[in-house]
Amino acid sequence: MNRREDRGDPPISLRRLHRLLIRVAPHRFRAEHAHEVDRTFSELERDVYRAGGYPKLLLFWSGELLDLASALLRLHVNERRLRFSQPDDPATGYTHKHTRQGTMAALISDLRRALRIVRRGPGFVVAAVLILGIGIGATTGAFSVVQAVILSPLPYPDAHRLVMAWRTLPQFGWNRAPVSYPNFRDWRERTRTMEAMAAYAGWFPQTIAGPDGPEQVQGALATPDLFRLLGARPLLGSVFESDTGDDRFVLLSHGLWTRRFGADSSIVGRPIRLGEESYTVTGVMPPDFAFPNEEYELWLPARSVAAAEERGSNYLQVMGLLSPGSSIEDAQAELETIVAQLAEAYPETNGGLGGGGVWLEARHAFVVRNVKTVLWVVLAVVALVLLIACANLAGLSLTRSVARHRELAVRAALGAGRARLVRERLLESGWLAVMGGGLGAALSFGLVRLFIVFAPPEVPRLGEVAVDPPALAFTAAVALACGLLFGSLPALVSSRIDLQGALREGGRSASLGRGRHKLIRWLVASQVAVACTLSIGAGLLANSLVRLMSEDPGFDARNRLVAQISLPESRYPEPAQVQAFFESLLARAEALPGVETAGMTFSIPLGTAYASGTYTVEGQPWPAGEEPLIGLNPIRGDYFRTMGIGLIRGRGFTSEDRGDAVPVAVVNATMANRHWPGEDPTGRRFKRGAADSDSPWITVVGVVEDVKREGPGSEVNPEAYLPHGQAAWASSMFVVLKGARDVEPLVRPLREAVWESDPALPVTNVRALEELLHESLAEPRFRALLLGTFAAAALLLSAIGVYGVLAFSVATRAREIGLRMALGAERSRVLGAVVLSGLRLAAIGVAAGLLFATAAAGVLDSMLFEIEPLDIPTYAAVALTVAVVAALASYFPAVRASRVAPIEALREE
Amino acid sequence: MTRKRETHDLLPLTPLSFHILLALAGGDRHGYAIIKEMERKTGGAMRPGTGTLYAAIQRLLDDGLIEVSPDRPNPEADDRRRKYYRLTAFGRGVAAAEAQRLRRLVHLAAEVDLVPRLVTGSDESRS
Repeated sequence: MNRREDRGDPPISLRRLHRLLIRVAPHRFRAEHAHEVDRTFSELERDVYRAGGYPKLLLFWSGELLDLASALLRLHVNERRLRFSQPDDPATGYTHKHTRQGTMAALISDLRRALRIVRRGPGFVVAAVLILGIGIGATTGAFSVVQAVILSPLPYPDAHRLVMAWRTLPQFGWNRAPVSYPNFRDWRERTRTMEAMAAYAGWFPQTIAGPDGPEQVQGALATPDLFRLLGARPLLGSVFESDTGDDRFVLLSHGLWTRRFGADSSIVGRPIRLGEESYTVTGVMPPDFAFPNEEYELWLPARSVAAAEERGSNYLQVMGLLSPGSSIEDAQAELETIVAQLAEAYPETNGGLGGGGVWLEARHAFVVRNVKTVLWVVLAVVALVLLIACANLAGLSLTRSVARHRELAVRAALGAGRARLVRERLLESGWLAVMGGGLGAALSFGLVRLFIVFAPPEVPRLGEVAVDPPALAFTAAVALACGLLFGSLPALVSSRIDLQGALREGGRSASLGRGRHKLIRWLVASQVAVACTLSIGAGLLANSLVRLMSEDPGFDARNRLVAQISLPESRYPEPAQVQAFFESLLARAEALPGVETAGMTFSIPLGTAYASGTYTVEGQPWPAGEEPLIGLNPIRGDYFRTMGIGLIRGRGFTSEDRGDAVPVAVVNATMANRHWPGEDPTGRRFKRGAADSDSPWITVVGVVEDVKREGPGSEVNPEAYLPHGQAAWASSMFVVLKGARDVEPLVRPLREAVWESDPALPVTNVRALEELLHESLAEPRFRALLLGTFAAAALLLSAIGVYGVLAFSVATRAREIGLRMALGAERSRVLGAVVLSGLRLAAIGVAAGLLFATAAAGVLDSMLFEIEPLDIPTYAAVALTVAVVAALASYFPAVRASRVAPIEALREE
Repeated sequence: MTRKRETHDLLPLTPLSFHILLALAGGDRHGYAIIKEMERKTGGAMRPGTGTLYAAIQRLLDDGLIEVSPDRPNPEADDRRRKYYRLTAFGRGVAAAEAQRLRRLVHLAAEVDLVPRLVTGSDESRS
């Protein structure tokens, strides 16, 4: 009764399809076993689902479908043997030795015939194999990616019980705010719904000395429980057991250990230097441990930061393991209570603005949050491609079976059993399936490799992406079953129906029944429609990509080299030291051969370093607590000229703008237009914080063009550039060099210039700015490429469809065409008529496709840049392209039609 | 009605047929139960598809090794329409002959040290 409730029954069942396929079995088998086979299938289906969920189910289905195909073949063979052998044994009706030979002979002759058929119609074979290959390959490839990135559980024990616990700050629209250590500790102590809780924080880069100079490696903070939650054991040594920072413990990644320490296993227990401090290595993690991602190479105890014990210092991400009996809702309710209690106990840090709520989400949902929509769109697209492939194969098989109608009828009349004819079809489909499946498998491997290479770094779990064997088996089985169904059922039907009629009719030439002809035309038109819809999507994405690439980011990226230098506070505690260091470095950098100009900035466009704060403009009061945010960017040297950022008004900074001079700033156009529209902003003043803050007034001395900080297409916020001399807090700066040519040769001299003044400093994030710009477009480029690939596949498939239908109709109408030409029809008119009939098919498809696209383009809205989802030029271009492709696809059959020799066509009678 | 047949006419059995006979030697079963029994005995190594299974059942029925059982071992728990199969006397004989054949094969293998001693030892002591 309540089987459904305990999730016992599979959500989807292939029972009906299975039942349908059994109908191909010989009559005796159906009568005796169909019911049993059906029951057994459904029981096994349920078992498999209960034991292994849906991946196992896919595997089971494909196994069953292929098994059924081969069993049907065997049954028909047996049946034939029973019928034709000499019944010398009244009990069994046959003798074994005798019939086994007979069977083998029949089978071999059938195999030969199937091969011959394949050889005789190479066009059909190539088309079918292509269709199968593209359909299977594209679907499997895309499904494998979705399976690995979204569907499959995270590679941790009890992954389904892992949750993330965030603070929420509704007043800032912030859902995933970090948590302070004391709050985390209280959560962990009080929770009953969670078995364990751990915390971590990313982005704690550390400097390690090495043979090629100091290197900066990415580090994370973690509590010891984190490794337990992730089921991770160190390869060597152990994880640190305390989370205080005093012990100065460090865990190394396998990569770092091999690279920097020569895989020396005696490293455990020994001290190593990170920056200025000495840390004891407690262990080395195994090669596959990558947390939070592959970038991270070492882990330190969670409280290795100065303000760890302050309740208001929020820096940790919290992960929990739900107890077996509790749901995420239980834990959410419980944590809400705990958060409320803490807000009451510590109103200063946990109440008011620092307060807010708590939010739990599954770890899995958190990991895939950015890619979910895109990948589901891809999956939907791919399902459409598979649909086209199946429709195509069905259409092709149908036309072909009708074309062979006469041959089949003749052979049936001469005594070939239905079983034999069906078996032939099965063997023929088998050949096709083997070839198509092979091509599909190869394609899917290629596509998955392409995906891994081209995927933007934001896609999580790329390391887990590989071709999914159950998916490959399943799509192959679906395509095959579809081919079998449409290929062998007509054979069954045609061998059963009235032979005389078929022979009489077939004596002229085979023709499609009216209904079937219509069905095939509909199949082709809908393929064109789907291809058209996909092409429009791809066109829109490609169009926005082009616009993004040609957009002016506000700076010139050509021949610019950037590199980051961060001064450790321990060795540069005084602002004056920081100033002196960067001043001398800048002078040295400017003097490097090949450098035209040099500048420095705290926040490089397309980088991650960014400082912002609230501000108040003089004479423009703001309600307290709602001050807007401004980006603050300390710069040094001739930064604007080096970056090619245009000065609109006023002046840049000079060496006079020092710490003891009047505070000045250069603002961007957005800020100028927002506060002083139509006026000259130079001489106006603003300050950081609220109107009553005691920070000094800053005078605007110039206005520069907007820079798209986060890359083309991003929004621009008010931004103020400050002279580094007046913003001494910036101890980490990017050097920008503008070279005359290629900047690659400048890397080494720049590093040496830095090490001349301080040999222990790492030079990090060394990149050509042009590369950064290119990478910032990785995601739109990837999307356009993805959809473009599938649209191309769909277009190709539908072209094959159009070609198939027309080639067939030309072949069957050869006599009619010959007759017309004998009566004086011109070649060009015949040609035109065929192409026109192809275009007519395409026109219906295109019209439907345009309609679908207008309805579906909204999905892409958020991915489009400066282009409407209903962009007319794109639609027109796609419609034209599809029409041209359809015309090309109809051209070849048309040429064949126009070459029909009238005499021969008539003689064929 | 049965002509005298030699059990050896049908040897060797296919592994699947032999496993079906083995499953039915332990009691009457329907198709699903046969699969389950086979899985249990072979630790999951033997798992025929339903099509293959019933093709083999058909063949065994045709050969007279098994027959449809008129009894319902557990009429309460089962759908009346389910078909149970049982071993015929002939089928039992064929299965035994197949087992004998396999045993001889194991012997041959043991002679050239392909089988651990323990197995041949117990085998010899029984014969």
